[in-house]
Amino acid sequence: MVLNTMELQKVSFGYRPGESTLREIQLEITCGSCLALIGANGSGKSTLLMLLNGLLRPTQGTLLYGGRPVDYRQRGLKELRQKVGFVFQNPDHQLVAPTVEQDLAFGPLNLGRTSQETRGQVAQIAEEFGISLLLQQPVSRLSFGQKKLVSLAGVMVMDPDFLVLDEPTLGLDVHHQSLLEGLLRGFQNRGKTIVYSTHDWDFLARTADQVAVLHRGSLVDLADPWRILSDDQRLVEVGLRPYPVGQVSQALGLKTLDQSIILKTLVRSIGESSKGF
Amino acid sequence: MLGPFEDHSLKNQENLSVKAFGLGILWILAMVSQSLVFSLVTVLVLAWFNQRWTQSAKVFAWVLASCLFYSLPGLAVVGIDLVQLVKGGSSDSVFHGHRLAAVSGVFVGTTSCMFTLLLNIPITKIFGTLGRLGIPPLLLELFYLVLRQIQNLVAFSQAVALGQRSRLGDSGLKTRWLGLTLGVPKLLTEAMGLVETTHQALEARSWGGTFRSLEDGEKVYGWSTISGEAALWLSAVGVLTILGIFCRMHSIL
Repeated sequence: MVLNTMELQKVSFGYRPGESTLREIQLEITCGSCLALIGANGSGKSTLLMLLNGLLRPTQGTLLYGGRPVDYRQRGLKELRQKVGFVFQNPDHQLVAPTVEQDLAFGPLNLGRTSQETRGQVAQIAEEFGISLLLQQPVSRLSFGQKKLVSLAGVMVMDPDFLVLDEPTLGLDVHHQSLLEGLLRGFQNRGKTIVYSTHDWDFLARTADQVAVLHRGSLVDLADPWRILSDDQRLVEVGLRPYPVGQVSQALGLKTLDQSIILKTLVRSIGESSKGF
Repeated sequence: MLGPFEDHSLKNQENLSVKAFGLGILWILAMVSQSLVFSLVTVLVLAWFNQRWTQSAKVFAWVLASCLFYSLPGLAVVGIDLVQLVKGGSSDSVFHGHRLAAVSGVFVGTTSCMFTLLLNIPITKIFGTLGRLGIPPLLLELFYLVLRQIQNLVAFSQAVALGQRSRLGDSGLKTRWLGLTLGVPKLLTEAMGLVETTHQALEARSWGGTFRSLEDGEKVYGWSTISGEAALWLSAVGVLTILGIFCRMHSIL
């Protein structure tokens, strides 16, 4: 049995009868990988992410977790949500308790951990996220970036194997973005899996192992970030903006999105071509 | 053609209706302002004792909840008296005041107890206890969503008002009125959408119908709080009793 692997077998979903927000999605998310979902607005990214946490149930097809179909009864969903954490796009939608500490404790307490255990875990995660000073703050007083961090911490404290994030970098400044990137990298280094949706190509280039492209509810491409981001024609076709770094990388004959390598090669090639003048 | 008796009766009825209406308005205003002032004072004193200023969202939610809790039974009493006044033509019960004092006293006491409990026990703990007492999870979730909606509505109303002000929504009485008529439906529809999202947020973190809190099994309120609350309760009941006695004497005289 394959542990911690998520597989969507011809999964379709519609919010209303006869409507198809997602059409026959065939996708396997392997353990320890980082998958980015991209697509134009309304292409079904958030819907797909919600299916992974069991917040939505496929109208057709099967979702497998650890090689077994997801059990949509209460016990099965609790088990799934213990393993698959979901971070909402808007932190205001996710934060359900009045103070930061109470919100961070919400998930672990639901998993049946004792108050003492939970306090320890909350203190540890707060330390890791650099939000220890915010613990007694009401969530309504936090800045947007802080709310994003708290909502991520509230899921990470449950120690899931799978982390599903809807637009994690949306509205974050450079400082919070690099903080988030470091936290996600640390999470992945512990052998855990990350799935997120994004429109931030730089973030994607630095973090994702694989990119899935959704277009009008269908999965139209699944490849490594370089292949997706260097094909600007394809990006435009599915309603996305091209990525200049990918274009430059392709023009230089490189197969990387590492900006430092691209820059060095670019400088070198400019230097070489200027010798002729 | 109507005789003198019918004329007199109609006139009497009309006077009584006007009187009832005026009294009703006055009593409603008195009840609401009394509950507001008392709720605010209680909340501030308790917050001071507990040093829980940071939990302003919860405090605010409970000020509103207590106002409703406190005002509605009071309004029911007014309603009973007004029915008596209109149907029976007797204004005795309205002017005696003892009923108002008694009922108000009871509700001051109940509200005070509610405050003592609510401001000292995390809301999740209250829900947890209610759950153990056999209250259905669906009902508890409903309570929880209502509380969340109060917070959401406050936040949204501020955002909507700000958005309207930024586009000159406060430039005159007409634009303000327009802003209100546009803003209220917007708030309500947003709130309905948010209920769904809040439910999803609860479920996404393995919520299974039981609210648990970090303070489960811990002593959560101290003597200072209880003394403060008792002092408030006694003074409020004292004032109301004196008022009741005064009204009673006035009606006897």
